[in-house]
Amino acid sequence: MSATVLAANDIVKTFGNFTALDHVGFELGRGKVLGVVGESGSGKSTLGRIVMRLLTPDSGTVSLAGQDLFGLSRRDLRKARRRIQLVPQDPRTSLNPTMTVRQNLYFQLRAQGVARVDWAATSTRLLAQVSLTADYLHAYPHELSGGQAQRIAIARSIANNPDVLVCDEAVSALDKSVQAQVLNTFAQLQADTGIAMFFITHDLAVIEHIADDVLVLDRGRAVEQGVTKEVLATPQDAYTRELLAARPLIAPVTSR
Amino acid sequence: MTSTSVPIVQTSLVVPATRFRRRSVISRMPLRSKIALGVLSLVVASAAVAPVLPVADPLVGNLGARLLSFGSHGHLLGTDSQGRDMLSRLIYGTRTSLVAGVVPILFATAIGLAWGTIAGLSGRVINTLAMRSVDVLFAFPGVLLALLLAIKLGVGMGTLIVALSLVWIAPVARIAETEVARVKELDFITAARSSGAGFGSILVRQVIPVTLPAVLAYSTSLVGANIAITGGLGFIGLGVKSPTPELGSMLQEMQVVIYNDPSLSLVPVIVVLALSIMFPLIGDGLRDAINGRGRAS
Amino acid sequence: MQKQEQAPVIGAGELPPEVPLALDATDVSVSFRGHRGRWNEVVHSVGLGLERGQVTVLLGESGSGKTVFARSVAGMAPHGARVEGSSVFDGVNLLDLRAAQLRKIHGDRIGMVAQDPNSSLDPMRRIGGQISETILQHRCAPDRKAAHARMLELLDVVQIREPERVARCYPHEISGGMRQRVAIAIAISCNPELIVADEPSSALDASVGARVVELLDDLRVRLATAILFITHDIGIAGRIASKPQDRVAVMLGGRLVELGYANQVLGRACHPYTRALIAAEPSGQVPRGQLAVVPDSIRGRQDWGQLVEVSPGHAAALGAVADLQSSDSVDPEVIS
Repeated sequence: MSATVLAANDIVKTFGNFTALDHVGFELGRGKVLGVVGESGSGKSTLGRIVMRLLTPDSGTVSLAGQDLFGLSRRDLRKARRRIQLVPQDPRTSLNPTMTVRQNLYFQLRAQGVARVDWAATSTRLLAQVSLTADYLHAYPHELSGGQAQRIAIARSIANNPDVLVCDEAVSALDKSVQAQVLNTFAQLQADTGIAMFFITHDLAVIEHIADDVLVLDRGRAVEQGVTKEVLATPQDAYTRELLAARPLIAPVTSR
Repeated sequence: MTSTSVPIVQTSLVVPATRFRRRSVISRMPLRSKIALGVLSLVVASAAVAPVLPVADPLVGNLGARLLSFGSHGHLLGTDSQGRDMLSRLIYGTRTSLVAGVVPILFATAIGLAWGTIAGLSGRVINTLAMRSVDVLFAFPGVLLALLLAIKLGVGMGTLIVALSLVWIAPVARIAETEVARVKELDFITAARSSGAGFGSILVRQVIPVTLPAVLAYSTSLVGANIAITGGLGFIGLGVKSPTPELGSMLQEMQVVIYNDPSLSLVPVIVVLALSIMFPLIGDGLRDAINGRGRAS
Repeated sequence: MQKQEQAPVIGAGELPPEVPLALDATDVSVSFRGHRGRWNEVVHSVGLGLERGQVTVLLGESGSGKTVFARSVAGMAPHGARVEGSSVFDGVNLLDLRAAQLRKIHGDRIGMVAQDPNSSLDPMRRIGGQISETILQHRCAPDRKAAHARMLELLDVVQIREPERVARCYPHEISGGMRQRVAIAIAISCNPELIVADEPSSALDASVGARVVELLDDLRVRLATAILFITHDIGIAGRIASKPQDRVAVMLGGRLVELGYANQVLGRACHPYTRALIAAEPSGQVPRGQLAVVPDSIRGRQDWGQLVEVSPGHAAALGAVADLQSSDSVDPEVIS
């Protein structure tokens, strides 16, 4: 299970004078969760867009299951795209508001090349995988709560058993009680299907909970990476320490 | 998945689905828009069936019965300076104005939507080119354009429609471009791109359905302004050819007799005004109804 | 309001002892006109007393009515809201005042810090001018020169380095964290008795937000100001409510379900909702996939009833607890 499914090597990306990513690389093992943590401007979302080939880096390579993502023909790219899927941030915009849940899922199934006869059964199965009943197929996104919309976005992303999910702040816009549900959904998916996750977040508590490995980005540089437990227990970099210090405290400072 | 170490036992995540009630777009519009839609439907219906209505011929006058007042025998709204029945001319004039009001907007919407969508989806260079040319069109006064075309092509309905179509392309294109540029950055489009779907499929199935309602609502509002402009052009003699009744030219004819009976000249004014208010009311209502359906903000 | 023990108030020496509460809200209900003109009550008779030098955290999730309640008691009810009950500030019921009278109090004796600092700053004007103007408007300085000096002092108080330079900047030229500091500077420009802070750190990066929270925590001690701090985040609540006299009020569905000193509510929560919220907090200690979920039987419940004192200074509305299935209730020993 230690084979690498997604790897980036020496990625550089600049926007004008601004260096978004400065020689960043990582390896994501099959079935593992890599937490990518950093604050706004750290380049974590840019990295997410690059590994999905929504952006092209200035230099560096990305390989998905051994294939060079930027050396693919258009045909192969469409196939490769099925193996890496996005769970976006904002539950209000992660689904097309003019389409029902069913239409949203069907669009994905069509794009993924699933045979039309299987669409109905697959949609129901996908909803069940995120603990929703088939009744939700007929709902429009605005009729769903944030947690429901986000779970449907997850269902959509796993439509064709991809190897990797890119979760871009996928739980950040949710209320804490709902966030727990969605995090459980992610964890269960991972346990059931062995999917790997590239989990972008600014929230160290979420990383601590869900990520096997962590990559800390600060202004485009990878300041720390390694096994989550070790990195958080003994942070080597001043920036990581600052993030850890800023972590919200559950217990009040005053003890009883 | 629950173990005894968890403080709260998880209840089932399977939430009973609520009934997802569907309401039509019209029923979700505010009351004033519904009223406007009702009144407009009546006007459109009467204009459509004008030839079979029991009214006098709008083109035939009786010089013995000139400038009759409201409520005269056989002429509910009186007659004009040539003794033609006002009610009849009003109905036929509304018909002309509606055609001149709606058809250019249809053309402008089709062209403007395509133009704006292309600009909105393109890279910076094409976008700049497309939108700057829209600006040029915008800067060109519409009435002047109609004047020039009238000189070149002659006065008439065809000229009017061409001129007004050109006038309205720019604002529609601009709205469409803004909408498309906004929508293409939304998460579900990014998700669709990463799903492996083709460009055409994303455009037709994802982008257009989201942008179209807003553009259509805006176009509906434009019809009102367009009818007012048509009236204005008719008033200065650049509308349709006489003696075809048209609200603007009727007003112009009435102007000479305004001192005899000013109330007569009010009738076409009120109709132009009513029509040009009705459409924006409906357009706003459409927009609200669509927004109410939780359009991505 | 339930009775409470007299907590030591920092800075109490500067206050006349007969005015213990900066703001005393009693039985406040807020409703909005909804479908077909029916009034829809979103806050159901909530009472809360705020002391100077004390932070009161209003903790709740989206839709709990926390922001509507906080704005209403401060006399800043959203447009179209109907507010019932009373909110007494210095002997005057703010809910009876007219807009012009409220304007004199807002910005002068009650400061407001919004979630998005951009919404409270004018993008077209320099920082310094905006702060000085507020100072002059409320006559907190005799003349322009004094206002300028006070403005620089305020920027220093909110820990902005190089106040002279920042004063000449436009809002877009400084970072989000700095903008929020400027918004705080404006809020405290006239030494208010009360600051209403609505999720002031939520729009900021965690480390920047943590420093803004620290700043507010420090200011209420130095200025002996009452702070009503709205947040959805238990972690932030634990950070801002750092002193023994600080209190946490938990809102659910427009009702107060638990109220007490911070270490009581966060450390020894007795309402099932508060406990569930604390347990739902992600952490490395909980095995993956086994985060506690707030059950709908708790979150959707309306009939919690009145706050009842469970220990001195600590009250909870436990009306429906007996009805909950045993599986939904929380073992009190688990959360410490």
